[in-house]
Amino acid sequence: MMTYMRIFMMGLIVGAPMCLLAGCATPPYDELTESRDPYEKTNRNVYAFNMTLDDFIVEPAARGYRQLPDQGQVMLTNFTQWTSLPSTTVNSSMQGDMENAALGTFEFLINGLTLGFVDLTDDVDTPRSTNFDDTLAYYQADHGSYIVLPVIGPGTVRSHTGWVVDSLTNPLHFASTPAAANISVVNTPVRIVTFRGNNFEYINDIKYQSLDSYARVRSIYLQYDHADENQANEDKEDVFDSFIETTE
Amino acid sequence: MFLIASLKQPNRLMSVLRIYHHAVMVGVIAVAMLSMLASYSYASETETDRTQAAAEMVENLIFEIQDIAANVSTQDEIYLQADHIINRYFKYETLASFSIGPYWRKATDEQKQRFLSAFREVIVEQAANNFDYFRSLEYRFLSAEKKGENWIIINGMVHDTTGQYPDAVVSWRISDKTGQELYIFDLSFENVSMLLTQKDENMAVIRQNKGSLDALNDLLEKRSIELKQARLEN
Repeated sequence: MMTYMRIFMMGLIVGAPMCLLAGCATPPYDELTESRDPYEKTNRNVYAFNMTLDDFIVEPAARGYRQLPDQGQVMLTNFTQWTSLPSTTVNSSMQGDMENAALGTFEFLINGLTLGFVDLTDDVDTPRSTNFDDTLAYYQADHGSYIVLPVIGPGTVRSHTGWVVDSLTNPLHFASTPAAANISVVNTPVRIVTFRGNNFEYINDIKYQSLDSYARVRSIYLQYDHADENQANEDKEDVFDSFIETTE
Repeated sequence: MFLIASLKQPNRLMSVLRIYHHAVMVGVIAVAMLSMLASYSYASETETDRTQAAAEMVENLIFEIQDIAANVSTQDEIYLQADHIINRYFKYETLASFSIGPYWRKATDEQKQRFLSAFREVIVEQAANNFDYFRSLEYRFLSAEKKGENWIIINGMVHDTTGQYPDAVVSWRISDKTGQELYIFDLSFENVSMLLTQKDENMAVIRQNKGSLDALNDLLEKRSIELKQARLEN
């Protein structure tokens, strides 16, 4: 029942904006502020919704998280990292990195003794965190358009697809024990709050100090997400070259 | 807004957020001050010499920043130092014109002057507000490379001795046009360019306001007042 509920919620999160996107006409190019963001108007509305959510729920919860003793914060962060290890294992296998898959499995099993709250593998190599978005990148899938989803936030078609697949294929969702069901339910909100709390100043800096925080987040996200790609780097060089050659 | 990061790639996005904040802290003052070396004349013309000179320029810049950070204590002094340096050395007109793309050419002289003034004021105020950070900054040179015909890229590692910020790879993009002096054009942290980010933000503001540079000028002037108030409250 919990699994069906989760799939329903996921469908709601992903499906609703897709319907919105389908219903809204793509604006003319000259009204766009970024060519990779063809649904900017809708994205900005969703972003505003997310900011309201942040104002009233996530930021206050993150403040509470920051009041916890350091050890409590570390344990919660460990927990969220532990719950993502099955995805690391599955996707490392799909990318042919069996060593990383083995490390992920080892860490998941060992730290599972404490439900992930305590890192018992401090001295062992940490597995490279990876997910289905990376797997799609490994097989050279295109990023697609930039899309902001309610609650989930910014990403591309590829990264959002990766998140859905990772969520649906996480073995914790299929475990039938009450403990696994509980972990699965609390995992997402705990992740959101710990991430927000661990990056409190950084996020607030962008949220409150930007001239246009939507545009700044999008710029950072897209630059970072495309950083390893030759074409993106060539495009960046073209921007600098064309400026310097025409103005000086 | 950033919730996706916690759901999908927490470590990766966490690092980019920290890096960006790091970049704002380091970059604003560094870009503002880097131009103190911009007017240095480097006579040597071979590619190797120019690359070496660029690397030395960055190291000198870091030294100058740390020297000021160590010897200047009050907010007013810091503001005056930053203002003095920018007025004397900063090629902020080049960066300012880059940061609004085609709207620079379309702007009237009055709009350009207003934008330059607001742009400079925000840089100086941000520098003055964040100067404490440099007291715990360490920089280590990593590599230097010629990129295309116009650029030299200097890579280094920034380390915060307090441990508050993670180590980050910083890349200095230095203009290396033949026959012209070297000067630093951009600063990137882990491939996130400060100047491109600023340009994307500025352009978005202008386009959201039907191509009005005045709207951006209004926002920048408002921002500089807020920063000034924050500095005076410290």
